[in-house]
Amino acid sequence: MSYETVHHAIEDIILTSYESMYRLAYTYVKNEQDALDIVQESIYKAIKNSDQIDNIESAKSWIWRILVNTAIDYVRQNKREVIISDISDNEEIMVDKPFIDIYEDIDMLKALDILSDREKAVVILRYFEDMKISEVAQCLGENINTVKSVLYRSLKKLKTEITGGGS
Amino acid sequence: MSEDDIWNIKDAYMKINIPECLLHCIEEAVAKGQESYNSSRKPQKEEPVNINSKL
Repeated sequence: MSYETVHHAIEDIILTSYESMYRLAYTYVKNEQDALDIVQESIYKAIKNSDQIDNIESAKSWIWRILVNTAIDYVRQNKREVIISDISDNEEIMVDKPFIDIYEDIDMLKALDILSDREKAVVILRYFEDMKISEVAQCLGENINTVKSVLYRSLKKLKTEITGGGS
Repeated sequence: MSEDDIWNIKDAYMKINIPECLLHCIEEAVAKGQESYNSSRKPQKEEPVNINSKL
């Protein structure tokens, strides 16, 4: 399989799903600049390491996996910076905390923050990006049963969050 | 959790504003990625093998 073939396949996938990629990234960081950074870094990594792709059929899930991992790494890195500044100087907290864009549906989107980073990815890919459970599993490098149980647990958590613990 | 609840969250998700510069940012990332890929695959100058030293 030539590099050109793989490269074109990756470009096609990116062009058909870049808005979805941005939305997923935004859900993790809640601001435009950080979401753009995550998408850019993910695409850069995907193109740079495109010779790791064995077959074109797996390219889509491979790109989504890079995106999810990059977003999770970005959030963890950011959290660590906030914690460090919290210890050293209270004023720095204001500097290092990511700013939140004005976005009217942010409260509804924040419901997802009750989920772990991994759970969030499963819910987004399954329910918002309409992937099959097998595709979600492939994207995240998990088996199907794990994805099913993560979905079940996530919906239960969201139910508690939205209804305030009621039914 | 009802289907309405997950639908409401999905609705909020789909309403996330897509910045105008996104496509441009992506083109930049593709170009940089390709450049990086090409430079990492530049043929290395092979060291001449001294057969005598292996004998």
